[in-house]
Amino acid sequence: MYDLVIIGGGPAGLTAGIYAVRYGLDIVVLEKNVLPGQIAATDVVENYTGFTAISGPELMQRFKEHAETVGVKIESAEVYSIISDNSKKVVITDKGNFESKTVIIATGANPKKLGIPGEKEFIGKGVSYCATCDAPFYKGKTVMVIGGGESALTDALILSNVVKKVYIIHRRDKLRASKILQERVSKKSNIEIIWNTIAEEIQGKTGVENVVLRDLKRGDLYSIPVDGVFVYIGIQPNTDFVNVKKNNSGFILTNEKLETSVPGIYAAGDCRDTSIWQVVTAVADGAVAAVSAHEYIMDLELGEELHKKNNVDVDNVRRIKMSCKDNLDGISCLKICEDSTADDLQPIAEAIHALLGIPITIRSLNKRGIRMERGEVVDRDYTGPVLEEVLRSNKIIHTVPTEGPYKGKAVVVAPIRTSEKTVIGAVGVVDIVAALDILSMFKEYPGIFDEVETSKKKMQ
Amino acid sequence: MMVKVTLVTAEWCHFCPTAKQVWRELKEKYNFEYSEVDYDSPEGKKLVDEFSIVSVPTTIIDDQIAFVGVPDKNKASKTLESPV
Ligand SMILES: Cc1cc2nc3c(=O)[nH]c(=O)nc-3n(C[C@H](O)[C@H](O)[C@H](O)COP(=O)(O)OP(=O)(O)OC[C@H]3O[C@@H](n4cnc5c(N)ncnc54)[C@H](O)[C@@H]3O)c2cc1C
Repeated sequence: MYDLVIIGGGPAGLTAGIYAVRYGLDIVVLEKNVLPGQIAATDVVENYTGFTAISGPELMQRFKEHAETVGVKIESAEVYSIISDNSKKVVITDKGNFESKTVIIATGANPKKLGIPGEKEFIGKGVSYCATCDAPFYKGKTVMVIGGGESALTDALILSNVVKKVYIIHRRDKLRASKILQERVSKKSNIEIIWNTIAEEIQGKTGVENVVLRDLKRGDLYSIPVDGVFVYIGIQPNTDFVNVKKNNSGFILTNEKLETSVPGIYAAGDCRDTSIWQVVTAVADGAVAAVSAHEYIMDLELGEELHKKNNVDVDNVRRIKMSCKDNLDGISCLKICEDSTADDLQPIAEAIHALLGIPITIRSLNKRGIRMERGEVVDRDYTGPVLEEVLRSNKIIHTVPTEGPYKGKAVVVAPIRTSEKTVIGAVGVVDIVAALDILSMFKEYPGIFDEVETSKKKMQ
Repeated sequence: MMVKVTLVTAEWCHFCPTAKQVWRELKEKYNFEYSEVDYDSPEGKKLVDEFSIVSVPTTIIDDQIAFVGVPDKNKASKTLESPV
């Protein structure tokens, strides 16, 4: 079993590999292409720190050399799916299965399709998504570039050196691309920008001959004869194969540690929901994801020890940590028992403290919710009945108490060690306002938000 | 008759090595005629004209363009029925 499987050997994946190897993790990078990375498709990169200008393939080659020199193992495989089973992930590929404790998804993206008639039919017959690949076939011809961002302008410039004429079709009246690229484009006499216009259909007999355009201001349709159409309207993440939470466009949702909705699975680079998709951000993501994976593995090891020594249900402890995040007010180790002391909870509390890194309080209470400390009645606590429910159902229970010390807080109680008569629960207490902020983290406790909302209204 | 596969590639094309790998791996499993042609060679130029090729890698199978871009492994193996 690997510590970490990294899917995708682009800038994000290889950087994650370099960091992970330095942390001593046993890893493998799975890459389906012989020459990985989207950046290998571009002729020159001018915005990666340390390189005024470097060709895309060369930059990628350097990443690869760096990774291989420090011992990153890269295997040729295409990943079909990931099966996640608590502390073990199985990565299914065309070259067999890979078992791992953690997974980083760094599968990047592909160009987004226009989705208009004629596009699919003419792929490779005049419709292209890569100027550096196909520009030489259009020597002296007329082509159209669709889009107004960095890639569109970069590739329009590449084409302008080869073809007779380049039309740039842009749906707005302003370009999104950087000023430096806009200036270069404006200096090219054979590039013409057609503003406020979208492409509606690509036509031709055996190859592209015409593109039907719609002027969004006037609303009318007209067509322009061209030999080729190059499409740059954004990217589509390669994330179909993995079952984690994504946004509407398929980009994987992560938090600042690049954790996905599945514990132990991380996402880095172009495949995740972020604000810019570049080499420099992809490599940064790779580093963050690798460090998070390392932390998770350390936690796993601590957890295993906790489980072995104290028979604690570590997954529930971890779930508490996951759901409460940094907004955790505190954690209590509670035990239901009549009139006894809770001293035997000390080692468990200490171990959980090591795992979660937050202070833990220890208490025992009886079934009626009377809090006992060293055999003495202290006061009433709402958690008594909750713990009893936990004991009965052996499930994680959430509640928003309307009285008692935790009034107005969101509370999650998870059984971490149960026997017939006693239950030890970990109680996470979260500020209600914070609970709303971390809404997504609570999704696995359906209903809690209604409770939180009602409780908040009551308080006001 | 043996299936004839011709892969048209270019030196600068970053997807071509992957396309080559797909066909070379299949060549070990199946019996077919296989050649790789650079688009800039005399033979390549002839193919580019004949098939109106505007993209590399392009795979020609028995006088028809079968794949543009890296071929899907499963689809590619389906075109080669007779294993070695
Ligand atoms: C034409 C073009 C020009 C660009 N110019 C610039 C620029 O000038 N500066 C800049 O900073 N950025 C530029 N970019 C963006 C840059 O390329 C990306 O931001 C960067 O490559 C993202 O890195 P990544 O590792 O996240 O993903 P990628 O580079 O996409 O790498 C992902 C890798 O995962 C592999 N993969 C995908 N799915 C699977 C699977 N199921 N199994 C196995 N492997 C898989 C892919 O083969 C690929 O190699 C450009 C992009 C393009 C397309």
